[in-house]
Amino acid sequence: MTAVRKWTQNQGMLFNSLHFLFFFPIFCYIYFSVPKQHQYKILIAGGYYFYGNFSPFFAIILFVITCNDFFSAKMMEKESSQKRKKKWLYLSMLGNLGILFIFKYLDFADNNIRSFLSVLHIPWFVPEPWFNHWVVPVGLSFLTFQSLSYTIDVYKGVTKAEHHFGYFASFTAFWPVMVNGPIERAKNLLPQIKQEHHFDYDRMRHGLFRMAWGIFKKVVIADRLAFYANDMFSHYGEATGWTIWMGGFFFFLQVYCDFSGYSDIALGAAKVIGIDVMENFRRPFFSKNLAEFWTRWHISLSTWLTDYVFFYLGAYKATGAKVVFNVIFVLTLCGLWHGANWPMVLSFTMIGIFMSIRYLWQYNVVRYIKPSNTYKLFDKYFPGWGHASITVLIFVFCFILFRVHSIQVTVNRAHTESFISWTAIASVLYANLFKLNSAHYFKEWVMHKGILQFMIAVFFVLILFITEKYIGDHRIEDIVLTKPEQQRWLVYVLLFVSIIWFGIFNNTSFVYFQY
Amino acid sequence: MAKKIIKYIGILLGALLLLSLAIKLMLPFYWGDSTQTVKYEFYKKNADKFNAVYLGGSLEYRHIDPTIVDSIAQHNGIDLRSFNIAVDGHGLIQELTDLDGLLKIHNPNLKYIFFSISSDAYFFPANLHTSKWVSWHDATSTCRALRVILTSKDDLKSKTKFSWFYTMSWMENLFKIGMMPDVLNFYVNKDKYDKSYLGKLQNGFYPYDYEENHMFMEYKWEDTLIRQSKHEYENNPARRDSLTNDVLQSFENYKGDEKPNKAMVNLCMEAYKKCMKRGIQVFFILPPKGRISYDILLPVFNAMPEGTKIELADPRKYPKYYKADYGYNFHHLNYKGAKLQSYDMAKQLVALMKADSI
Repeated sequence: MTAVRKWTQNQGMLFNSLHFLFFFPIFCYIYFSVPKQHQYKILIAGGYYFYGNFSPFFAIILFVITCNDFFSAKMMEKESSQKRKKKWLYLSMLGNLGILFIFKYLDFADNNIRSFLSVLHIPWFVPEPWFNHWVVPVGLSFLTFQSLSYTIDVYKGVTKAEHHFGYFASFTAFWPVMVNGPIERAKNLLPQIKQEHHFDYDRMRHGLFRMAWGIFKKVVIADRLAFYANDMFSHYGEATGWTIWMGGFFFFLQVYCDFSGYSDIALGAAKVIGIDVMENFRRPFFSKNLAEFWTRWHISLSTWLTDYVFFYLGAYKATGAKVVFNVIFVLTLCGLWHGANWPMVLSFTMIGIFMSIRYLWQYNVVRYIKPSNTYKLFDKYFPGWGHASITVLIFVFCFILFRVHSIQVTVNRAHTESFISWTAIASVLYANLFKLNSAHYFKEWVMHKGILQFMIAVFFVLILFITEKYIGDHRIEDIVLTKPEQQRWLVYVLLFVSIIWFGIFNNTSFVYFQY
Repeated sequence: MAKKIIKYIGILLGALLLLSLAIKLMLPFYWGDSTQTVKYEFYKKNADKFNAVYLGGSLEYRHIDPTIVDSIAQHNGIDLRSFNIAVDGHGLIQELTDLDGLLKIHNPNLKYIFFSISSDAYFFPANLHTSKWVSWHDATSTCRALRVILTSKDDLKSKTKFSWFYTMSWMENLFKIGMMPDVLNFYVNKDKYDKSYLGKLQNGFYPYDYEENHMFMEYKWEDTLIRQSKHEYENNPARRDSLTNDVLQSFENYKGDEKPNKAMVNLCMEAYKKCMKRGIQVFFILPPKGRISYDILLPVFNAMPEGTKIELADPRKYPKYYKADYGYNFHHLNYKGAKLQSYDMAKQLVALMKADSI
């Protein structure tokens, strides 16, 4: 175990690090220089180097997952009976989910069983766990879900089993999306990996611009907002009302910029090397309701859950209570995917409950009153931004619970003499949240780094909103790169200078690395 | 194609460099550190009131009370009106940058500069990427640092790592990487910076005992660290003794023929000659409780010209500095210790000056 822990000391290669700044051009140079039939080998080498940089142990796990799914899918295709195919599918699932469970959920399960049995005064036969200090391999949830989608697709006949181990290994080790998504599907990625890729100047321009936009979101906005989000949550006992709402909103924006920034860099990097990866975010804060929000936020995970869980539960045929159950179940599962702790799980359950309330409202009320003039008037005059604001408020309300676990860890680490439960933190936060006539700690929160720093943070958030409003649902690079040369260069220089001058470059890792 | 890409990258970098250089021209050399800004801005406005300045890091800032030194000197008929311009964390390389900046500030009365020999070119890597650290780096300071590092006795790994850190910091300052919020903050708020750093008597001396109770620090992390370091010091006599023993060993084992780091000696002499050209007398101080081994510092200190050296670190001569009663934390004295050191320093200074006048 010491070895495992020792291996996990490394911070790895972050997209916002100097290491990556060197890695990427060298990788591209080698990738485009080798004979085209060998490009997949460079992808594998790059992937294992990239992942192994976090820890060589992680690279071994990646290899195990790759072997498990490659051979399971191959065997599945050989079998003629559905029953036997299913056995191979189960083997693949056992391998993927087993690894995920051991590293991510074993400690959580053990703690819960232990707590439950202690309530009943039943002794738990497992001694004090020796695995509770294991470090979860970076992006393990992404890796396993991506690989799992392949075997499920092969089982369902959506895609054919890959018979070339090298191509398959380059699919699982496709480094741009490996540790933080988007969770790609084999049917999209594998055919592209097999193609020959020549250096394309236009693709490079598009890719690099997208990467720059992602880096801007990460280092200029997310890392700046992180300070304010952390500050508010670390003073959860003092903050009330609007301070918590603002802090929660900043946290929501921080996660959005951090995670979508990573996705932008991943998409851009993949584009440069000739591969198109799915979009992962599409302006979620312009969503008019939570259902729409879910089609715009972490799209690769929501579509994964929709395709492999929601539809499996019979989403097409379900009505009424069944839909409510399905929605809450899938969202709870989504929460569990994010973290092995109750606050994270329940924050998504809460989102599921709000989505279900909306569904019941639509299903039982709206469809009957929709033809009425009153409803039409309401629909006409209640503005889109009003819907969007309410959606964001609900999401922030639920998302505050998402943060409770990390507050608990920090507080308990700092005060080892006493233990505070997550429920105690959550109850303080939510009790204070509704004190809407107050905003304690607001002044200190704003002034902590000085008003100027706060204004800079707000300024860049406004730039983000304006840009996303302007580009609509298009890709930013498609809009900017079709502008006249002077305008284009003005954007390049502004973006470049903003990143360099206003970026925070202390190698802060991406929020979603932990999932 | 490659030419085209390089050309575009060159245009972007060139534009950035030009803009960064334009910004640099508008900034004083001390802008990155609020304490330093307060001290230098004060000194600039009151330069003619002072004829002596203490340069260095926290071992000077927190230990030397100019009022005590001045009064003893004046009592002995020496006209000394000194200001403590030292700032926490400033090592040898930064001291030279500070000196260059200081000499550009017009002060015809400046007669004495006290230069600390208490560090080499190594520093806490946690300071990297902060404006406070990055803002003073330029080609000259990088060359100075590299000369010291590459001639030190450390292993290749440390040498490479710290050489890279210095080069990177220079690049960061050249392009002002991540520094614009602090630049704006300097312009908007420099007059609002906390003047307490000047000390109670506005002489630049501010011991930790005062700072830990300073209410303005309520929302800064430093106060916690300061108090924490004091707590550790008070409760860890074994470490206290071990550090004192290390210093004692260095002095006892010193024979006088050890070779100093040449680059460090050259840098100190560069400072000495630069000041002498302007008619300014330099005194080199070897303070107590340094973080760097006295095995390195002693030979450098002893290589300085005779009549310029003020040695305050030897535990055999000054045992009180290493007693818990006089210490604030492992590497700093408390106010009581600082008063004592200022007194000892003044005595040595008077002796040196009197000998010089004879």
